Amino acid sequence: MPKKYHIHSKVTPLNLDYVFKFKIERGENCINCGKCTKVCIYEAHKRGKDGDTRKMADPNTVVCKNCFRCIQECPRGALEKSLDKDFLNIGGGYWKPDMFITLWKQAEDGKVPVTGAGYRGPFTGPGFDSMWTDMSEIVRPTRDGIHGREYISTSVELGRKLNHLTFDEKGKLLSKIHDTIDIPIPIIFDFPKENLSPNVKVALVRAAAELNTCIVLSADDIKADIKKYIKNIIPLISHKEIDKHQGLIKSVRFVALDYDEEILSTLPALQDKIKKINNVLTIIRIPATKSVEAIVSKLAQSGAEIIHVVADYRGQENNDSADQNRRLAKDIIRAVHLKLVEDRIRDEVTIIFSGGIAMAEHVPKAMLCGADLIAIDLPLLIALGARLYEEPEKIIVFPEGLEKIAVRTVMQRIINLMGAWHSQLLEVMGAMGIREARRLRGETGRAIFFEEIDNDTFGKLFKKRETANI
Amino acid sequence: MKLVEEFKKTAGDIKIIDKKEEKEMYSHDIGDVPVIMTKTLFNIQPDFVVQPKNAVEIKKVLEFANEKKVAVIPRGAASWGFGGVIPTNAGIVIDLSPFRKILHLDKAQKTITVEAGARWSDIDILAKKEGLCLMTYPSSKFSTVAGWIATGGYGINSFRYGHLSNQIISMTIMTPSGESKKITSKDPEFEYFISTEGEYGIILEVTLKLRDVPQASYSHLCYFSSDKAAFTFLTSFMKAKASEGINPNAIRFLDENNLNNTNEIMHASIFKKNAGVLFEFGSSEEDEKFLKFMTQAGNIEEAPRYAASYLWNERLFGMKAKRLGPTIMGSEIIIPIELAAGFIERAKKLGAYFGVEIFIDCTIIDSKMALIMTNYLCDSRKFKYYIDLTMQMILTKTALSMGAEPYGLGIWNAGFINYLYNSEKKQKLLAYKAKVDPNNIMNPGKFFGIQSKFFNIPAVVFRPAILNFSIRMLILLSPVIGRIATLILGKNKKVDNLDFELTTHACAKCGNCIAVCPAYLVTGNEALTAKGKIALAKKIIDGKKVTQEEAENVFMCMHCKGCEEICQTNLELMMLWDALEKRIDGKFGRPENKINDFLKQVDDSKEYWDMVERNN
Repeated sequence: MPKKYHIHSKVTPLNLDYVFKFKIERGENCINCGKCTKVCIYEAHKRGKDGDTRKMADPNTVVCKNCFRCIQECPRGALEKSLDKDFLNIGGGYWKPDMFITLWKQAEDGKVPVTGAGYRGPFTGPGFDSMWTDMSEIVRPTRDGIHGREYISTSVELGRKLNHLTFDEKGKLLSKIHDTIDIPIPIIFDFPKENLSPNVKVALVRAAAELNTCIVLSADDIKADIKKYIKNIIPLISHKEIDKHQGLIKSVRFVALDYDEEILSTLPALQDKIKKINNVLTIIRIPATKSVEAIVSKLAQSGAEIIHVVADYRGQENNDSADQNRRLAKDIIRAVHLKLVEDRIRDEVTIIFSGGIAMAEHVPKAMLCGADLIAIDLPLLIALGARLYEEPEKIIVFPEGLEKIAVRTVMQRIINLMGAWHSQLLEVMGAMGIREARRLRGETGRAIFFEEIDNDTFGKLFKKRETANI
Repeated sequence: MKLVEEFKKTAGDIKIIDKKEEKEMYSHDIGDVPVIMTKTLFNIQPDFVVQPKNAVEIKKVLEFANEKKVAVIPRGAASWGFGGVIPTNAGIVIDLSPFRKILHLDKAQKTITVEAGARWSDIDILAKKEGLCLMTYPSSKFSTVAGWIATGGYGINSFRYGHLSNQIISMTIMTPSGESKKITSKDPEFEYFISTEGEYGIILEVTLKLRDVPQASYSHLCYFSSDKAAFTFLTSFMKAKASEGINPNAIRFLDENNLNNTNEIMHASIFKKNAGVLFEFGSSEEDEKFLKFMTQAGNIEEAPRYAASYLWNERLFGMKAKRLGPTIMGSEIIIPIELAAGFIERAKKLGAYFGVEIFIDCTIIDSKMALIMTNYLCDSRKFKYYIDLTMQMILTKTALSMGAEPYGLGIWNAGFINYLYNSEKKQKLLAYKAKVDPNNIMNPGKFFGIQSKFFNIPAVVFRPAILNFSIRMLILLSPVIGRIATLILGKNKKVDNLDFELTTHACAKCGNCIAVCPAYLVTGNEALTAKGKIALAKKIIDGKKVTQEEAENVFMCMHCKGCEEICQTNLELMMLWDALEKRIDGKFGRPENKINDFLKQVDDSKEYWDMVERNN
């Protein structure tokens, strides 16, 4: 049994301004008694207002976990807590403010944050939120098991696989087995389109290397300072520029090609051409359009090794129609997966999905829908303090001073984030009783889809249920 | 060898205060008595102050005092103004104010046992958590239990529950010889410890009767066209009270000047310019009975309920008018209700001669007697103050000659002792004094007779015969003296806005702040309290020399705002502290280490956290 994959998290605070969820305000009636300093175990309350140790300093709300203890214990009822305005404004309909706090905290220490007060619902919503994963095996001592005795593998295999093997009469293998590459987590980093400062770019690459996964980067972005980690870099090139990037192709394990219609007809030749330069795996990167499943199927039948389906940053289909007419990640992946199953080619090709992957749980959910692995981009930036606003249009704001943070710190935060996600993947798999991540793929029997059970249960009673308002 | 050095040899770990600046706090009480009458006539600075923690330590002090034949002055919150805690000839002040634990609350028997220095307010808060509360309590609710037993006893609710002594189940007292014993109201010695101003020993512990927390508070303020009309009404009320069974907890009379002062302080006209009588009831049945009586009486104007409630809630802040002063003076006497209006009329006439406005705060203590405080505002910084001071004696004497009793003697009223005790009673008191305190160590030089410096010659003035004669002369001459003084020095005017200097003068020195001060609770050092810091500010303003150590006291403050919340005169204390700290910071710097040590001391103190919780 191979050695267990473990991600080494380290507490890495980032000393930059960031949003916090709860604003604690100290009222005029505070008597500076110091009770709050005693009861708060997160050190949100300390003495020393303007250097005067006799007076209570303004609460440090960033560390607040919303336990309400200070509010309850204050002898004067002088503390007040409310949701912070900045917090409420961040993100949008898809990127919920809470996600930012969660990602930020995961990057801080690699632990799974607990928010204190109980979650009061709703228990369903659009997209991934309408999926519940099976927890029938949670009764087992999973926590001990998954991190201890039990071996759960999160590794996935990338590349073309054979539908079946053929042998000659003597029992000798006739089929030529394709090369595949294993990565220990079903997550790769996707190339963030934003203008990243050099330290962040280097840190992302180094983190990918440290985690033994890969990062997709535009070929032009691959400068000398990251060449050292070239094995973990997937250069993204246009199929017209294969010759131009020969040198690069020689040094990598994967190469990613931007899809256009020409590829559909020339794919086998293109892959051969690349293979001649170096024995690398080719990834076709294709936007999740309305007919993406048909294209994916055709590509797979033409011998594509890996196909990367890219939805928009909110996990929606790429087309110009109104939001409600655009499929969401869950449905896109399921459509692609089912189409391939229908065409009896699903096992032969690797599907990467990206777009709208915001939380750790989206990884197993996307896999259950049918992806082999996931690519992420925005969570990496949010882990570094980036603020994303959906309205009026997508905008990402980086915290001031991020460019001055040491590469090591930035890298460790990415590692922490992945550590937290990895732990959660283990938890989810443990609860489902699945011990190998590759077995998650398309395993919809281990998930409950709200629409389906809703229909099963109430469909007969209310024939035309309006599902739009869920 | 200095007395304190000798004491230290045997003292063990009794807390002693002997620094000159710190002792200063212990040579005054609430009164604004000019130096000429205190320092000049008496040795008011004690040799040293002790803050004993238990009876054994108190005994040690008494034994030492007996051996050295020095005076022992017991002290509580020092919120009484007649000089009861002011040393007349140095000696040892026993500060019982930190000796303030609440020992035991017996819910079934409805009693509570407390140490001498326990604050009425603390007892009430604690008892209320068990559904009980105080019966009779003083208007300075932040004063000590033993302090009020020794000096007063008539206060809020005494109309219903009688004098405090009725509610004392037992007391543990220590005689001057150091013998402690528990006495109940049935013991013959009991009377020697009630309102005897620390002449016979020291009260150690007290067990008090409590009552159930009343349903609610119903207050009524009735207006009357004149003081006389109000007291006429009260006389008729007393008759009805007996026949109809109306039983208010408290009745208070406030004249139009008093109500008007409240208006001025609030910059509003809540109250009419009329004499007012305030009633308070504890249940709706009693309230209904009263309302029925009022309908029968007919034609009595009542203030809106909110005004009555406000007045009732402000009952603990009787010195608020000091904001308008900045000095408040007054006499306190007990007089039959039917004579009250007559006395008030005379008092106001006398006041007018001297250009002062008399305002009345009167508590009806039972169906026959009224405790009247005849107050007036003046300014201790002005020369006229020396003339205003004599008014106090004049007012007291006027009342006494009309058939009143003085309410306490201390130093300033000692000359009126014969109005309080007839000669038989006085002889009895003196005999007991000679018996238990042969060395006359307990609070000497007052009460029975004044002892002063200069071979006791100035004290002659305070001899009953001489004092009474001279004051009678003053009263006779007051139309002339008063008018001339007012003509030359002007009438007393009220102040409106308080600057820092006036704030320091407007401090009533009532000691409310001491009761709530966490810094005092932990250190037992009065100089850290609002009262102490105001004294320091006064010193600085007067340009007196202040040592660094003394000045640094201002920083030993939690900024809890407790003093400001509880301040009688509603002073803007937090602003004052900021200004004071800034000034001292500029001169001596900020003692960071000392501050942090102080914070640690507070943080480590169990009593501190108890206090924080108690006020929860």
